Amino acid sequence: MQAYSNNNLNNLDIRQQAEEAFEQGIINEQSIFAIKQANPFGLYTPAFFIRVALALLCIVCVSFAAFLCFLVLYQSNNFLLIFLLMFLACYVLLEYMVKTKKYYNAGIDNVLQVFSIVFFAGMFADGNYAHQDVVICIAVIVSAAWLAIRFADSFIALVAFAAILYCIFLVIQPGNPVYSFIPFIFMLVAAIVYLLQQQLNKKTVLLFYKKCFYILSVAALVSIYAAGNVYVVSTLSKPLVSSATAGSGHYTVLWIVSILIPVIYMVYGFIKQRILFLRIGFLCGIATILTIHFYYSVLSPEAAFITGGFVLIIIGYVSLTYFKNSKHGFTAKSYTTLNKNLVNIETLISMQVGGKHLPQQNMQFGGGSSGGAGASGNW
Amino acid sequence: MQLAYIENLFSQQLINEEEYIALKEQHKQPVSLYTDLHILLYAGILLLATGLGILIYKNIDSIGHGIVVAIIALLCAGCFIYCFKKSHGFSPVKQLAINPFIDYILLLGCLLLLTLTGYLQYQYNLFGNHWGLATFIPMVLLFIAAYYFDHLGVLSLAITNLAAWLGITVTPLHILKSNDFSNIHLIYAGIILGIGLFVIAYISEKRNFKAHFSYMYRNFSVHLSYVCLLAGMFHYERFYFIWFLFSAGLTAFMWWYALHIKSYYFFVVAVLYGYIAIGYVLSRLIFVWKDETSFYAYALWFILSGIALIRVLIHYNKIIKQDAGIQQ
Repeated sequence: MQAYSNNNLNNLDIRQQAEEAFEQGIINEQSIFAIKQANPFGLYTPAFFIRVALALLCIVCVSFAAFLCFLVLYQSNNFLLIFLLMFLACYVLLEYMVKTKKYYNAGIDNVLQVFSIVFFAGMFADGNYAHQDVVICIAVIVSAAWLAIRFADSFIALVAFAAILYCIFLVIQPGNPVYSFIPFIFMLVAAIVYLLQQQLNKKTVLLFYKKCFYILSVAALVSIYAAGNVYVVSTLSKPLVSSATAGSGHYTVLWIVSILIPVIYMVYGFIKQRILFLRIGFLCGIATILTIHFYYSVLSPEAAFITGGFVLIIIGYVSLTYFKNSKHGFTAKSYTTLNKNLVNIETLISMQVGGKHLPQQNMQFGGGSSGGAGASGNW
Repeated sequence: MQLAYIENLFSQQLINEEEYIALKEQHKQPVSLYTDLHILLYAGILLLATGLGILIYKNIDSIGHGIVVAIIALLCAGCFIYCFKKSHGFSPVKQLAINPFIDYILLLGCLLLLTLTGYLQYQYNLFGNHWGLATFIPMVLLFIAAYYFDHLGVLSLAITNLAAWLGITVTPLHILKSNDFSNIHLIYAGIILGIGLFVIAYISEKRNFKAHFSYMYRNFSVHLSYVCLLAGMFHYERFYFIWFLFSAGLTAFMWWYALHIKSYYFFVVAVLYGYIAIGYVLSRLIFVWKDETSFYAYALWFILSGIALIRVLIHYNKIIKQDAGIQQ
């Protein structure tokens, strides 16, 4: 079923970990060279920016190929044929590229996988089914699951997971006896996916799915929280919340879940030294605070911003000082000399937030034309 | 690195004993919170600056202008004094921060400085009718701060202010929306600024004076120049071919330059902007037919040119990799 040889992907994993160790100065240039020589990687993965450009150009090519196909066939009114032809073209090309050119995360193969799913699902969108949305969703699940297994693509694995959750959402509609339990059903499904990937991740024969398992674990943990968040539930399922009014048992349970899950994640992450749980727990905690602010607002927006800002700066400063010399298995030090991605992202945000726009002769203060770190634009 | 890998590499004698011990020790190393704490500090600074901005705007009449100015000025001065006391001081080469907290306090100080000058100009008309001064003075201060404290984020703020002083918005989300590219002076200013920034980048590297700033200058320079040239092509239809020739010239230069410095990023940027320029010219030629055939020709052009460009990118990816000595 796997399109790539295990050897290639295992070697890639070794090379990537060796490169990390090299960047941290643990192994020298001679060793990294020897490791690469001993673990050859025969697949084609170009540099990051080239990958992005290849993906963009592939999107252009496939989109205009579909447009051309439509131009030729639109008079026959046979949209099924257009989708079928495009699906076959994308999938066959994908298999060909992977088999002969050995593409792996080259941008082109990633885009072809996405288009394969789109065109495959499109074949079922002709309005001939009683439950059209469910059928399309199942088509997405089937195609995405197959592609994720065959090409070990983490984004496609995420698509399959999202499609499963959406399918459940479409199947369990108001009137269904289990409708009032839908948040807990979502939590259960996400928890099952999390546990399943944990078990599969331990198998050495499935090592090349490591990235897929990682993405699935992130998605599952976020979904467990989101499924119980009061705001998310009320937005996605209005009848459920209107039946579970404030003060009812259902409503209370959702609030308890919204508060408890971030705490559980963070405590677990701290005890087990799992940075993923700490990060997701912290973000979920912020989401819970925002939910509380949305329903029981006690602070004005500006007071909330200032308080939030102060709290984050204090947490950041105290943690930097506290973990300076490593405590409880954590440190504030970096193992690499420069985190380039972090610098680039910070620089981009600074430009956007603090950058000046055109000065105008009759400008009104607060009109959003000067720096104000986000106060610009709408204020 | 996984323990199984370490054992394997050592048994195959691909790593020496010292490295083997170091890699095993790495497993006992504490988990690094470096990135997370930095993001936290950064988010805190942005939230605080935003909150203060909104607070001032909403309470401008009730707080009193003097108090508002005093608070911002005090906070701003406090940030800069803290940075002066704690930082290394000026150096023409790259410096590692003694304490990462300084970087964020400096950023807060600079954001407050921008708010302060804008406020003073609006409320007290500090610079009179010399509107440019309201942008020029903070720009100079930001450049000084960026060079003195060696801060890339502040440098980017300074460059956006320099552009604003010339009448151009270069913030990523506003570059197309906020600029009136039908104004020919704006296009010329953008191109001159683009060339100027490229020259500064070149001098920085050549003289080894803050050479690590050159990437930032060059990045602004390339995008600004291309956006202005393309805008000229789209807006001045009668002379679009002349603008196209300039775009083609820049693409040829950037192509050569990217290969010269072995940069995938600048190569991709040159190829994609060049593609847009050629696509525009060809679409104008194709739509002269004004019938159904033009749609077919248009679709075919994008499919074939896309495939051709994909081949070019794959080819040059290999060449840059070989030239850079990157081992497969």
